[in-house]
Amino acid sequence: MEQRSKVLVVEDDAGIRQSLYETLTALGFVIGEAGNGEEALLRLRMIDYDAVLLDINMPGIGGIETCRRIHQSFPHIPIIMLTIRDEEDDKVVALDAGADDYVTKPFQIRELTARMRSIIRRSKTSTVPPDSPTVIGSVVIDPIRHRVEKEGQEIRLTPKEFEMLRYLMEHAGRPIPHNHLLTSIWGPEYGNEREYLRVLINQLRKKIEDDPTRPTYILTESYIGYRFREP
Amino acid sequence: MQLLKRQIRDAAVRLIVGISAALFITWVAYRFHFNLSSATSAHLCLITVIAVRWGFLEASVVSLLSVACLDYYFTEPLFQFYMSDSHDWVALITFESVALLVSRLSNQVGRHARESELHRSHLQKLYELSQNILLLDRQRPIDQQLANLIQTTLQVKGVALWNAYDLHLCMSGLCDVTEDEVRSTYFTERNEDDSVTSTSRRVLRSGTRPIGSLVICDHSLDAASINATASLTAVAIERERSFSAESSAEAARQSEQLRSAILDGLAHAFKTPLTTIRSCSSGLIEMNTLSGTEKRLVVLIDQQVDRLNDLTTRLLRTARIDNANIKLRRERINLMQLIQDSVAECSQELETHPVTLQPNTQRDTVWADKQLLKMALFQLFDNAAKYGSPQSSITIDVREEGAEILISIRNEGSFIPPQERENIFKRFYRSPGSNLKAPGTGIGLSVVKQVTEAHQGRVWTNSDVNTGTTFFLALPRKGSEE
Repeated sequence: MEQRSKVLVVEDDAGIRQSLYETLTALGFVIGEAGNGEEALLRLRMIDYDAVLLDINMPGIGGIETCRRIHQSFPHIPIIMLTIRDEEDDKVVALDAGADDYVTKPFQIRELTARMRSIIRRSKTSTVPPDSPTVIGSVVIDPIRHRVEKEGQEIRLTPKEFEMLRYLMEHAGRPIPHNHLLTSIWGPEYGNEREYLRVLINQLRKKIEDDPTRPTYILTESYIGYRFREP
Repeated sequence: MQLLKRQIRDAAVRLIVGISAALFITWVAYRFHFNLSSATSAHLCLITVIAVRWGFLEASVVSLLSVACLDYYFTEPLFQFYMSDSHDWVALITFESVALLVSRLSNQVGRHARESELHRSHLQKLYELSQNILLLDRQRPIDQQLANLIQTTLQVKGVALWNAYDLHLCMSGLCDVTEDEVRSTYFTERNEDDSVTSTSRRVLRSGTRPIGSLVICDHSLDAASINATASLTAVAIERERSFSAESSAEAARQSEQLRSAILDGLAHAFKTPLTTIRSCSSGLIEMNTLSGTEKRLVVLIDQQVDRLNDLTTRLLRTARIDNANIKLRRERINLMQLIQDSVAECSQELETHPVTLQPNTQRDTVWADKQLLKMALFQLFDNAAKYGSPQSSITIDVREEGAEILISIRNEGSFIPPQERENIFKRFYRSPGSNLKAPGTGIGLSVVKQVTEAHQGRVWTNSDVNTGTTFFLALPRKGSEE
């Protein structure tokens, strides 16, 4: 890594904080630590971090509220929530509150660093003009020519399928909750129509996946939504 | 009989005393030369006293004697039962009429006073009964306490109380009735008062619904008091029942709250150190600075942490499952795929048991909650392995049967006796002797049942001493086609 990324770890448990500090520092990150949400906001005002690792359950203002405030005050800093399994509702709330991704405790450091690198890279490259073609794997989408290709072959999509693919690829690597996709593609009053989404995703998978039953591009995030694979 | 004799004797004594008094007054009046009106007044006075004290009969007899004495000693001609002056006739007839009237009135007043006194004492007893019912000890069975209380408060010889809720008879004191007789009052729903034996039978009712029967033996109470006693008893029984129902509901609610609080606490308490250990172990691997042995050891730590995490997650999830709070998140599931994945995830548990998968249907898509269904299947695989004989194979079969998709999981060597086959699905139930075969909590199969029923499915088991045990899990096909 040419330039060491600065990451703020916000976690109330000292053991987890220390283990993250030691391992992530050894793996080339510059780590700042905060024991609660208030302290995190204070540190973010003083130091320019590249990403925040934020525990969802914390005393004080709590993880979700901290996430909301960081997202409001520092919208350019990506946030990864550290969550516990079985709390999918909390994960959706966190994504709604502005988190870019989440990792379930206890996590593998490899998985965590991969997510961190991915969101830091995305936040740095988000200045690309929005209408330029996006290439992920062998799938290419060109918004200006309204054209999708896979391995050089054009794929014909309906307008809704195109919109959906474009939205997913623009946010590749990020888990996108069902209601976000529904409101973005169909409109604000469609937040609960999961069936529409399921049907459209299935159609899209049939067209762009090699094996639609084992998707490699459009991945299911159980109980949360969908994620387009990392670029 | 004794009572009657005593009454007759008392009446005779009273008559003799009354007659003697009348004769004495006559003698005094004659000796001191009273005229007719003075003698009449003295007699009237005596008769009034007798009427007030003793009653109408005694007063009437004495009044007739008085008339005879007055006629004999104070009217002309003297010493004869004959009157020459018609005024004397009028005087004596008036005297007799007034004597009878006064006797009658005073007797009535006396009777009313006695009745109201009796009534007051009955009311007092009922009031005491109602007060004492409130003070019954809820820690002990209420029926026996009620019977004792009725017997002592109403001062009756015996009480029998039959409660239709627990079909239990309680007796207090001496009561010459059999349990069948007490019960028959409840079944025939007939209230009876037997004046010969002074026994009353009452059906106890809550509203219009009979809830038991009460027999009171050898009592001196009126029917209204007995009715009131029966009502009070019924209210006490109902009150006790609703109180205990309420407290057991409250206890269940509290234990449920406690359970989820403990589970949430445990989840956090386990996951936090696991997270620390895992980020250390996986961090060490990721740094790639370890020697071969060091790396192998750290990988082992990492794998075991992963396993511990899986176990904790599974255990907590299983324990959290409760009928009341199952929220299904249905999705379209390829059942064969799910079974294969579940078998793969149970590899540790199934390690010594070869698994045979027999798909007998093409339509194996169901509309179900993947995580919950996986949890149920895991429990069944785990059970099949735990209780099957060592190295024996496990056969999983999937087929369509009518409106259902039927998954069956068969092991070899274990046997569940017929009387146990319902119970094993109850929460915390463990078959006698199962502790010797494998450790367990008695939660697993109850979770399977709850998950299956939440999907409108069924689960049951067949078992044979020779061939082994098969668990069946049926899911409705209707759900799979939604």
